Amino acid sequence: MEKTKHTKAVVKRDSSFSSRTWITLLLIALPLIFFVSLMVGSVNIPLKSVPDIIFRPDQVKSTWVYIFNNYRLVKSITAVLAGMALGVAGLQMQTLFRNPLADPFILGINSGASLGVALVVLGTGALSGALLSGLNVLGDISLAVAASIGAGLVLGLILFVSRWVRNATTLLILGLMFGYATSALVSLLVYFSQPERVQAFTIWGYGSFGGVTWNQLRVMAPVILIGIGMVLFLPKALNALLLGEEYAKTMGLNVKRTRLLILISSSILAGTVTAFCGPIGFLGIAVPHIARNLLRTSDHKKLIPATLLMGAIVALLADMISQLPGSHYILPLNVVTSVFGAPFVLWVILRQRRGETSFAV
Amino acid sequence: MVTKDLEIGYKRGSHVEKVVSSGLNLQLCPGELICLVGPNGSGKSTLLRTITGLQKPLAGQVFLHDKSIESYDNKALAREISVVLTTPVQVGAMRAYDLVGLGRYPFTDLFDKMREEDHHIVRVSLEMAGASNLAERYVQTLSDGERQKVMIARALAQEPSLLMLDEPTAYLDLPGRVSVMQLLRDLAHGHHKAVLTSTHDLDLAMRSADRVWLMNRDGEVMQGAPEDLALDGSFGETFSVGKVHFDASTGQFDMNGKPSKQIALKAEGLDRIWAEKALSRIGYAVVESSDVLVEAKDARWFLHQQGQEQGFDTLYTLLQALNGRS
Repeated sequence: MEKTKHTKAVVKRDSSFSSRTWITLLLIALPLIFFVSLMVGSVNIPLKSVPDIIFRPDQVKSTWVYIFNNYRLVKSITAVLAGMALGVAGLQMQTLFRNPLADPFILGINSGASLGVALVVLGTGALSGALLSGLNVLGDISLAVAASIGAGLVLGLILFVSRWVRNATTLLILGLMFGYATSALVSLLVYFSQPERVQAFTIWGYGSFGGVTWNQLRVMAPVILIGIGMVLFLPKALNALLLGEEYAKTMGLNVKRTRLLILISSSILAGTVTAFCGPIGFLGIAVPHIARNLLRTSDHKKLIPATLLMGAIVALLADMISQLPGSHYILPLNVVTSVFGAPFVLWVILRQRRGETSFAV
Repeated sequence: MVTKDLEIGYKRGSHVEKVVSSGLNLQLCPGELICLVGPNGSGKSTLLRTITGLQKPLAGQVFLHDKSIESYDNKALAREISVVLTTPVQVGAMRAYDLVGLGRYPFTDLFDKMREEDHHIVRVSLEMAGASNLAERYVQTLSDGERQKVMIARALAQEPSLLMLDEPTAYLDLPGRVSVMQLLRDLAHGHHKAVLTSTHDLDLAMRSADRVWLMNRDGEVMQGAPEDLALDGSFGETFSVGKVHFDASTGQFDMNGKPSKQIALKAEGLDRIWAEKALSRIGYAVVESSDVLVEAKDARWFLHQQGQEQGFDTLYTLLQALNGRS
C-alpha cells in the first residue's frame, strides 16, 4: 500500500509534465508532417525543392509549381482543417453523450449532411442550369449551410432520443437507423437525377481532401475556424458534463445552453467537412481516443488542443496513405480511414465489454 | 432552508402525472444533520431533487435565506446547495484532486482558471472529507467508500450552506457506512453546514441524525428527533410490513415475529447477552423459570430438560439440539 502511494505521487508530476510534452511534440510534428504531405502524391516533389517552389518558382519545373500551388497546398490545408474539425466534433459528442462510440459518422450525422449536399448538388440542376459548370461562391456557401443543417437535424434528433436511451449500443443502432433513413432519401434523389450529377455525387461520397479548390477553401476555412472557436470556449462546460448533466446543473452549468452550443458547433464542423470532403469515417471517433490515451487525462483544457493537433496529423497521414506513394493510383480516402478505423471501433467496444469505464485510458 | 406548502411529483407538459407528496412544510437548519428515511418508492429522491432545484415543484416553494430558490441563478444556487447523487460517476482518467476541483465550477472564470484560493479550498475540502491521502489517485482506482468521500469533498468545494446527499451509503460496507455518517455529522456540527441525506439505513440514521424526516408510503413527512418518532409509533407504522416489525424497545427491526416458546437461562454478563440473542432468533423467550433451562458453565453450554443434562461446546450445537437437529 505504502509503495503504491509513493509511486502515485511521482506519477502525478510525470503526467502533468507529459500532457504538456505531448502537446509540444504534436505541435512540432504537425508542421513536419504537413511539409512531408506536400511531397507525396502521384508526382513526387522532392522536399529540397519545396523552398524553391515557394520562393523561386521560375527555377523549378513549372508542372511542379502548378501541382504544388493548385493541388498539394490546398489539399494539405484542407486535411488539417478537416482533421481538426472531425476530431474535436467527435470529442464533444463523446462527452455530451457520455459514450465512447459517439462520433459524427457513426451516429449518422454525416448522413444528414449528405442529404443536405444531395439536395444542393442534385437539386441545383433542376433549379438553375447556370450552376452546371460547378458551384460558385454562393453555391459553396449553400452547400456548407445545407450540410450543416442536415447534420444539425440528425444530431438534434439523436440528442432528443438520447434523453430516454442511455444504453450505448441502442444509441448506436439508432444512429444507424437514422443513417439508413437519410441514405434512402439520398438514393431517391439520386434515382431521379441527371447521370453526370450522380457521378459527381458518387465521387464525392468516396471522401477526399483533394477535391477542394482555393475558392471553396475561402468558404470552408472561416466556417471551420468559427466552429473551432466556439469549442475553445467550452472546455469548462465539457469538464462539468463529465459528471453527467444532473451534477453539471447543480454545479451551476446552464445545461440547455451548453447542449445547444455543442450541437451547433458539432453540426457546423462535421457538416462543413462533409460538404466539401465527403463523408469521412472514423476520424471523429479515433482521434479523441488517441489523444486521451496519449495524455492520460479527461481534462478538456488539455484534450481540446491535443485533439485538434492529433486530428490534423491523422488526417494528413490518412491522406498520404491514400496517395499510395510511388504508384499512380489514389485510393478513396474512406477506404483508408475504414481499414484503420473499423478495427479501432471494435477495440473500443471490446474494452468497454471488459468493464472499463467509457473514457478510461 | 424552509419549504412552504410544497407539492412534489411529476409533470408531462402541463399535465400533472403523479403527485408524490403535498403540503410539505419542512425546515432545515445550519449545524443540523437530517436523515430522510422511508420505504422504497415513497418519493425520497423526488423530494431531494425538488429541494435542490433539479426538479420543479408542482406547487409551493422552497426558500433559502428567505428567497425562493427559483430566484437564484444557476451559479448563485450552486454556491449555496451542492449534492452527492446516487449515480456512480464515470469520469475516465481523472485524479481525485481534479474531480474535487470541478466543485470550484461556480467560482472560476470562463476558462476555468484555478486561482491559489481555489486550490486552497480544494485542499481544505479534501481534508474535511478525510480524503487528503486520496488526492493523487485516479478516480477509477478508488474503492466505493473512498470514492464517496471524494464526491463529498467535491460537493464541499462548492462551499455550500446546504449539502444534500442521495443514499450516500448505498454501495458501502458497514464500516464504510458508519464512517460516511460520522463524516456527515462532523460536517454539520463542526462546520455548521446544513446536511440532508436520504438513507435506507434506519439503524444508522437513528444513531446519528439530529432530526429525521420520515416519509411514508402516502408521501406524508413526519419530522422529529429519531427518538420522538420511535416513541409516537411513526417508525412502526411506516415500516412494519408482514412479519417484519419495528421494535420500539430496541429501535431495531425484528424479523422473528412473536416468540412462541419459553426457556430459562442461567448465565452472566456477555454469555447471557449473546445466548439470549441466539435463543430469541430461533423463537424462544427467556423467562424466570421454565421446565427447559440453559446453563453456562466452564465455557460450555448445558441444556436441562426432562431431568436430563446435555453439554455443548458452542451455541450453534446447542441451538441445533433445541431445534431437534443434532
